[in-house]
Amino acid sequence: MSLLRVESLSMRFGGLTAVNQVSFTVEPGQIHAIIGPNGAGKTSLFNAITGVYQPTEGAVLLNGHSPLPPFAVRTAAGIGVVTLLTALGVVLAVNVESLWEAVITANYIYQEPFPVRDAIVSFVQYFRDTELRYSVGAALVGAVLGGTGAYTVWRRTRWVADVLSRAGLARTFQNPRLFHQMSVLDNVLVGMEGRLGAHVWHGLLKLPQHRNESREAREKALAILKFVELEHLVDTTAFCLPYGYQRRLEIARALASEPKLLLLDEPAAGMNPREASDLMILIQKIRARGISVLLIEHHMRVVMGISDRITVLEYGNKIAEGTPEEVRANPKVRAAYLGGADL
Amino acid sequence: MTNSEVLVQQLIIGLSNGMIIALIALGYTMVYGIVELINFSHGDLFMLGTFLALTVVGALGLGEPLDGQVITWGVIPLLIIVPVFCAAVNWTADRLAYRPLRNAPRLAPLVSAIGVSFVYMNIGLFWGGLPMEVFNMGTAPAAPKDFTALVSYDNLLGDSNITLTAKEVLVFAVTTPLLMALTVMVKYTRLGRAMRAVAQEPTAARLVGIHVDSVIGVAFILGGALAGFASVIYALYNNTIYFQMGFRVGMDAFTAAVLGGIGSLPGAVLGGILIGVIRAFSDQYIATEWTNVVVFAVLILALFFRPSGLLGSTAAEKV
Repeated sequence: MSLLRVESLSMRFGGLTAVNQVSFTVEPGQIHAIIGPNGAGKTSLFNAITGVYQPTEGAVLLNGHSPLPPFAVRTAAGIGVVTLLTALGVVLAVNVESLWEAVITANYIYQEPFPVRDAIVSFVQYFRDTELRYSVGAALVGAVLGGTGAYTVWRRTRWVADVLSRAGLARTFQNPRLFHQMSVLDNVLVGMEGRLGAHVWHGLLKLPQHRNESREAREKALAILKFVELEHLVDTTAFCLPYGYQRRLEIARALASEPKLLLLDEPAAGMNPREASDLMILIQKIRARGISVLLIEHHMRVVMGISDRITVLEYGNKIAEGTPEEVRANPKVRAAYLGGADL
Repeated sequence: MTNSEVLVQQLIIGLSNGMIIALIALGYTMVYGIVELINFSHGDLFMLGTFLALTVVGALGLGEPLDGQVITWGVIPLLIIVPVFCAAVNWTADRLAYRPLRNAPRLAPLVSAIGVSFVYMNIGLFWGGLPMEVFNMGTAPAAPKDFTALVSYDNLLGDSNITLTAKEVLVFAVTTPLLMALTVMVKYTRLGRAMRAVAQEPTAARLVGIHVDSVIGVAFILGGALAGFASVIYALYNNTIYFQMGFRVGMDAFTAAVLGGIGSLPGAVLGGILIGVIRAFSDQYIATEWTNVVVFAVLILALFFRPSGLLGSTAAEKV
């Protein structure tokens, strides 16, 4: 089964279609590259897959399942509560003045304790006396507003990056987005946050179990830093690192969340040939750990050297897909790259 | 009183008020640091805290101190109930009013916060109108209420011209451990690390799987609890509460947060203390009616030279 299946995904910003009906799959253990001229929609596609944006259309499936939380009993209960509360609120709001008069003013005597019981009786009495159809109408309006509102909010906040990350996606950015004020080690430790225990509150209680966990986390983080060859810089603050190291640290942080699929957005940008070939070795080492890689890259030597499959985008459309040889031979791809002088 | 005694006296008053402002400023700065929302309802949350404190005083029957004897134990239930209440209210406001707007333009939750502030203020007005025995200074809902003096006015320094009462001691005894605990939490715990991560790079924090909404909820809970502590000690220290005081105190705290560098926790504390001391000195040496002018003049001057606040990060914006 495919590890990642993107089904006719579209990403539109107002009138601009950045990604148009793109479908592809990434198989387990593959290195899959996405190439295309500038503005082809590669980064938008990444953002839609990782939940930074919500895709306008289409689906993203991980291992054949949608990674989104399903509509569970809890969700329904939450929406139900909001519906009831808004219905009640609207009923109270449309009756507020006469209700206040009947319940509070009528029972309140200056400098006497407020008779709560009488107030409740008057409250019930008020709804007996008034025509019920207004209240029922108001309740219906409130219920519809509250229910649809709560459902919309739930739909809208479902496609978020932290959910997708816990489902096994991790990524890096075109410009490294590290936690700049933290040490290298802390950056990697934060990367484990989604895997460590379920809830942030656990971190407050210094139970022995938690202390063991944090020692294990530390050891694991050091192992990852060793893997990307940054173990000598553990205590350095992230923003002091040279650019190439920042990229490596970002990859380390992504690996810390134990992803099944790692998405790299132009990992070789701004690297010299030496650094680029080091990076190729690192990406192959990552694949050897059983992590599939999806990467955007302009460095053709890197792309052609390590990719198992390549998808080519132009103006948001997929124009070709195949092995490096097939893509290199494809006339459409050559045309897209200005006659494709030297692929 | 000699000149230097006046100075010391004003310094004590200024520091006490400043510590209270700092507690509230922390609530502004923590929420801003994590969600970039200026939570305008924070001052009014503080006001609700004082009303709850007075209600609890009435419900538990804590009266005036007898023969100058301090009912210190009466302070303890207040310091438990009120912060819990404020934290719960603040979390609920985030859950209901701000969280649904997390992906909306920045202005939307800001307007919600102003709305929530009006809701709180009207709850305060309503609360003040409730016929309760402890609300013994004016029965009109909007009238200021006299807060029962649970802590003695006696001068701990004996016959000295400088007055230092148990009230001032209480302020420092409550605020200092809170500030230390908050620092330790943010610096050394996993939760604190997650909070810093969300504050520095929200997108990346989400992408590494941090439960961002929980972390934001924690910020609201902590900020609310601090406002709760602040409302108890403010009420005990200043002894008058009324439903609109949230605006004035909140404004001071917000100014403190901006002065110290909004988003920076030590900055909020420094800003709070500075504002408290400046207020006290201006009351003494200039005139009370000029105090607000002086405070905001200092703010403008400070921002002129350090636009991101005294301790705000001066790092270049990421591109």
